[in-house]
Amino acid sequence: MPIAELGYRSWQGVRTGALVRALAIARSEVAIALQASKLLRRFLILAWIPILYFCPFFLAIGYVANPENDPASGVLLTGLAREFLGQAAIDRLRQDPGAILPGIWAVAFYVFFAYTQSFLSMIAVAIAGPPLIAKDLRNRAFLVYFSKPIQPWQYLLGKLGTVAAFVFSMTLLPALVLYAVGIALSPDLGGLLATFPIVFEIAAASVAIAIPIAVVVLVLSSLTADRRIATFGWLAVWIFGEIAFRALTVSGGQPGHQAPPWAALLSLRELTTRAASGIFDARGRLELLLQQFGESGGRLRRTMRDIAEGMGDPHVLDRPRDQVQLLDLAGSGYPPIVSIAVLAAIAAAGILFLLRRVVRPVQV
Amino acid sequence: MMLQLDQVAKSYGPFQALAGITADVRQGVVGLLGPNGAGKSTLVKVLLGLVRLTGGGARVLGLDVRTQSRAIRELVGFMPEDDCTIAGLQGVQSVALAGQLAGLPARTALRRAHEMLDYVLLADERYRKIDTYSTGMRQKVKLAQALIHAPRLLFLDEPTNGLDPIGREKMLGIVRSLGQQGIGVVLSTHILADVEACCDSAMILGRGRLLVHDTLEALRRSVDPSCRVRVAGGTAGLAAALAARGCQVEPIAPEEVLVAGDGDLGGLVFAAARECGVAVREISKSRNSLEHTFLEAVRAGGGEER
Repeated sequence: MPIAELGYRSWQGVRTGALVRALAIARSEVAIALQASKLLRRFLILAWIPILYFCPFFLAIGYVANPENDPASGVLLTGLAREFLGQAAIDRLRQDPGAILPGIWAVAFYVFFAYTQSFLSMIAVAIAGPPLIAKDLRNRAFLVYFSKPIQPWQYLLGKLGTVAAFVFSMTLLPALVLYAVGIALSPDLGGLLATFPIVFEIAAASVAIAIPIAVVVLVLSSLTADRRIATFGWLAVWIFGEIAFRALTVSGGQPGHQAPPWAALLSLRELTTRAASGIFDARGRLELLLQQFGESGGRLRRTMRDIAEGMGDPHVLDRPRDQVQLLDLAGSGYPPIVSIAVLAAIAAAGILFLLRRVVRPVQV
Repeated sequence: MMLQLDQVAKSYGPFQALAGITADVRQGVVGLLGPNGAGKSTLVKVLLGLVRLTGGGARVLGLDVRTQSRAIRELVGFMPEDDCTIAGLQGVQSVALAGQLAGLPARTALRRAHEMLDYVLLADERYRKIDTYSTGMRQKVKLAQALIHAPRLLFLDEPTNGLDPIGREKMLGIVRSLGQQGIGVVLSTHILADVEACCDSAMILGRGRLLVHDTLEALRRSVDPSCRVRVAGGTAGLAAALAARGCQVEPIAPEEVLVAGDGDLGGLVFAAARECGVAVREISKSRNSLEHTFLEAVRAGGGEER
């Protein structure tokens, strides 16, 4: 017999709002995913490795941009900056850092998002996303949620928030850390003022990547009670789409070859990359930087060549300047706003589908 | 009034799951009895606003199920029959999450989850993943989830399913105790004994219709004061002896009679049997109206007890 049995006790208190309840779902799902998958935990750590590459870049650019620093005394950092930008660009940067820094930073963040983080995000989503609704279907957990005062949109927001949390931990969070590093190393407060809008661009690009892929993976997850099938569906959407896009883009590899304008629609990652390009204004800023730097070499130029090759026009930088269509670097055929619009349409259609879908299992 | 049902109807295409149920249910512990497929779970889901009505109307704690289902779910707790869990969570996390979904702050939800798990007698197993739980443990967790936000009314759908006799007794004890503390309980079950053990009143459903709704006291009264008697050695002498004692006797089989009369029928039968030298093999009391109606509903519904 217990010494003191409290029995049933009632509770009275102020209840939390609708958003807090959705957040509770997201927090619980993030915890479940992290506990369930060692691979996911390792991946989240792996996602920070690209920072090790970009930090020296920001360190070197910050050093040479400060007119008070003597390039001769910081040989290593100056050498690094020369490797990245070329000497002419460094000279121009030292003359007017406020005009040049935001462009360099924006392009660097675009490359960070487009070339490493969006790829890593796709893998993380492949691990964490497919079980989210599939396991609720399998375990009939809908009754647990909807027997409480939870609306379908709160449930969906919680699930979307779960995927978004993993994507943000690979895009938004490391990008903000990089930004903080850059600000800490910038010559004066003018650097902060000049580059502050980039914070919003980082946030917007993260959202542009996170929301569409979260919606797509949740739609796939809601179609089956077997998470393996949902995972296969996600990999099919991602990898087959990517293969189809690359096949159309690089076929022949001939000078002047252009992929069909609709090719990017086949690849979700390509769409998100182009959306990021539009948000960071990568095209405009690259053009501006090339005009500023003239024929300066450096990794920036080589990076642009890499981008051009990826886009199916490897000879773009070899053509006379007045014929160079740098627009092609960050998306051939149509402006990035189209990618943003397509992603928004995918997200809206997916959310409408999910709202109808998640109510149905309860109404049996 | 705890529940007000007015011609509640629900159909799935041509199949009518609920066919116009009307009842006013007072505060207390109410048994919702019926065979499988009678419409009990559908009625509970309708009252929670999880399933839309196709006809009629209903109010739960004064709130309209059509327009105020979210407010209803703030005030009521639901323990579903289905084996529904959020995979990957520990028992205590699962109950705390249910609390947060109902609007408890995270810290309060965790504290109260422990209180509720103490109350339903789930000990250290609460730290195990719910996926590894036995049926009985899952039932306890579901009850704790239903109770965590201090509901005024509880819907328990087959709460004793899968429980061993001790677990069942404990579960029914909890239901009784909740009723004594003023929490309304609707106990949906197909097990008559569960309703008899802890309910104040009962509603019997059959084929989507309300067959009976009355207090348990009224329903326990016998339909008619009679009993069946099976003997060895012929019924003629026994019939005469019983008739001499003022009973009506009706032979229903070569060695079986139906005896009706006032007073202690059992005592009269044994005295008559002793007098005429026959051995009584079996005396069974006539059914009360609760059993009678329930069994009629089971037969009519083609249902069978598990």
